[in-house]
Amino acid sequence: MSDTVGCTIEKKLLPTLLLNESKHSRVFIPKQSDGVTEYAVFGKGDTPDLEAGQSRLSPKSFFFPQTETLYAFDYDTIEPSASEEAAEAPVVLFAVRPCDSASFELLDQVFGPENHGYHDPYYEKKRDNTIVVTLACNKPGSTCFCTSVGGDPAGTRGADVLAFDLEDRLYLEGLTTKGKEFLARNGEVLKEAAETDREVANTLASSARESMPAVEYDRATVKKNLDDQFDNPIWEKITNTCIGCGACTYLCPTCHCFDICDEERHYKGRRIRTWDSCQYAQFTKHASGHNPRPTKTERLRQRFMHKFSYTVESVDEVYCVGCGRCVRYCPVNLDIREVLREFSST
Amino acid sequence: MGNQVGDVATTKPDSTAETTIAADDWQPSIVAFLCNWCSYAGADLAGVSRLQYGPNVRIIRVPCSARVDPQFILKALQNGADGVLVSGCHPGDCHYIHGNLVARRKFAVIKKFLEHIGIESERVQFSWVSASEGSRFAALMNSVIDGVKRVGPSRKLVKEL
Amino acid sequence: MEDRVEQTSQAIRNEARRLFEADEIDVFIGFESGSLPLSSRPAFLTAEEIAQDPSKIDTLVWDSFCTSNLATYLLRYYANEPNRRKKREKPYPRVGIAVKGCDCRSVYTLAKERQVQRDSLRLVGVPCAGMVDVRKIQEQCADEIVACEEVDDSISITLRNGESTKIDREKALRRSCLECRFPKPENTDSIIDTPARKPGDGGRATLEAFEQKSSDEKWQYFSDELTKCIRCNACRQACPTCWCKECFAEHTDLKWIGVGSDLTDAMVFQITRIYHQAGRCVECDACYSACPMGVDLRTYTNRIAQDVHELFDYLPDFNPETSPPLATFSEADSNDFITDPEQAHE
Ligand code: SF4
Ligand code: SF4
Ligand code: SF4
Repeated sequence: MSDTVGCTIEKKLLPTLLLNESKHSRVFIPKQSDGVTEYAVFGKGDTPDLEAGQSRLSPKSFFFPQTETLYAFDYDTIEPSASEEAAEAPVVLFAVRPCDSASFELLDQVFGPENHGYHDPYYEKKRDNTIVVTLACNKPGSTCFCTSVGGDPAGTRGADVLAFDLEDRLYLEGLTTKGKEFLARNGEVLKEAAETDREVANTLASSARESMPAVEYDRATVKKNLDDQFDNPIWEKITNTCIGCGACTYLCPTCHCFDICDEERHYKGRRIRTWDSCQYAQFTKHASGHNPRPTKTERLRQRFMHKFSYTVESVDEVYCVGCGRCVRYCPVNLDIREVLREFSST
Repeated sequence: MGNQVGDVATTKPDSTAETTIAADDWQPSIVAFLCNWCSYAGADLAGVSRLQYGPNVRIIRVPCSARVDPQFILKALQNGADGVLVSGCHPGDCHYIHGNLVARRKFAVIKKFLEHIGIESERVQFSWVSASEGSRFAALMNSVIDGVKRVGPSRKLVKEL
Repeated sequence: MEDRVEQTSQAIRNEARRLFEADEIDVFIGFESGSLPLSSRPAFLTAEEIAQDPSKIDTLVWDSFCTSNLATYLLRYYANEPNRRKKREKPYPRVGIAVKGCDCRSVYTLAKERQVQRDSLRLVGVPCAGMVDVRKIQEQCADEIVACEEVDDSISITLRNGESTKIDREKALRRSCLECRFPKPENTDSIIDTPARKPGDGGRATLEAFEQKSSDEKWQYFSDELTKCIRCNACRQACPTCWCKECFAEHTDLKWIGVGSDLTDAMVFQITRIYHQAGRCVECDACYSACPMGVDLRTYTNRIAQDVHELFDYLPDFNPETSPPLATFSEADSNDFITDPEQAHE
């Protein structure tokens, strides 16, 4: 299988490919139920819903689950025992959207060895065992703005395989060693792609790209303005409508703050890591009772500072991939795009 | 640090508190919140009078039935109690004049609500027992135990750890 | 005749303008058009802003998408200074607020609980035609909604694929609105001249139908709904009567519930949250509308309101004199639910 030209697979053969994979891996595919798209385990007879669009919850939970047991303990066993055996099993994430796969790379910089050589074994193990098959978006959603934050509807970041939906078949390109292996071992259902396939894919990608409205965002300007205007009362105005829930952070593919606590009962227990949100009152509450971010104004500001200033400084990345989930699901329509515009003027 | 509220077991799991669910000889574990002035004394009297009632009850003494936040009940169910009983002084006899009347409103609401979400009505019960009603206490306990046995081991709302 | 939406919006603008001109208020809270179709969001106008640019008043709108309960936003104006002993230095701001039936009842509930000061408020009552359930509209659309326009009793929708449809407004209303007992606000300082919908049965019929389910069926339903919950707290934050300074769910020295995604924790959170609303919930469905996961909270808020009504003959209405039922008691309260061993053995 040549890896520069890529290959194609007829859509009706997709279940065969996924079934093959599911013999040794857990395979997740997009599915819709009750109007909500989610990644569900592939089982015999399933077909991935490639029209389902973005999932409601970001797939970050595959690597960074909402609740993760770090270890369990009981009265007699002092040695902590690593749980999460499941992390050992290989996983195929099929038809992840480019914004979401790009978020995996951003998470890598927090939980992966890129972060000053720290190792998060829980995260790394799952990440290493996963093959990400990214599906380029032919029809970006109305709230998508990946192109404005450095992404692309056919972006390759974080993807092992990039797939394009060419109506009756998919055009696939292996991007990483893992991805190429994935294609190689499924050679029997794949065909070598024709030159034109790549061209069609390119056309689809560029028309998708053009269909997306540009959000006014210049990384350097916004960073500077955010830094300069830390104490600007504008933040109070922006926070007026905010109700202080955590929907934005919980739906966000790049938000990664967590909390660690113990749960115990009957002389046994576990130490768990759970999602946390900078929008919550206890997020920075000190043991003394003092809270450096006492109101939602400071908390909302933190969300923006973290994404568009602090991480630009520390890892040279913007922690927003433009998926638009927080735009769409904010209960009071506090629109991140509008906030960026607010801080865009020079 | 990280105190967990309302632990059902007070002893190590290998002693009495452990409930093994063998179909036939399953014994429910029931948490009873008893007010200090009436129902707890009633339980005492039942004991002193050597009245027989099932050994399934773990009693938690509270100053007044009004001390029982419905949260306690939920916590007990989450921690695996098969049944919860709250009992205080009869209306009119509250040591704090009308603590139990305030409590009665809370309990009426939470009981209906728990039934609405699908918790069997036998699981969570409320009663009044005075300090002189040792036999009523024993009868109450047997009736609660019977009720809980009828609906079987609690599976809803139990948090697995 | 002018269309209802435009007429109502205009009347609210006029009233807000009048209040500012008469120097009766410092802030006005209403709704403005959001950045997404089918969304109107809370708007805050201050006297200074209006003095500078009177045309800002024209951003106020009133359509069928004003799903937030604006009473939520009042609490902050009356919050105690962090140090309670310190005398409040600034006087309470005078707030004008547009209220639907449910918002208005929340204001009265909050006033009874001394969380807001009724006499510093100017309530602008807006007789309510009901607010839509965006999910009901989405269900009827095959593609993403990119634009909408509401004229009288129909909502015209434009989809991403270019198609357009018309939706009957009445069919898209939230259940709380279809069943609302109090669409017309009372005891307000002024009232907009627009028709209110006919009062509903308060959900009696729906609840009776639900009551036919067995315990296990009810439990299954509750489990299915709460499985969707991601613990984002949007429901709590959207609710005007969830005003505890520290929520029971956030206590850390006595940890009432776990912070993770455990189903029973989510359940206990919701049971307690809704139980705490007994006698206070006005069934505005703000929590339901805020929930990003579409959890059916209505079935439960409706029940608790109905139970309180049946048990204590109390509905949180527009009467400032009655006592909240869970803050009082009566010797005549029902004893029916009490286990009586003597009777049980007969
Ligand atoms: S609950 Fe009643 S008052 Fe509130 S929005 Fe619905 S119809 Fe209007
Ligand atoms: S619980 Fe929900 S329906 Fe009830 S008042 Fe609060 S937001 Fe409104
Ligand atoms: S808003 Fe919905 S998802 Fe969020 S905590 Fe409430 S019920 Fe759960």
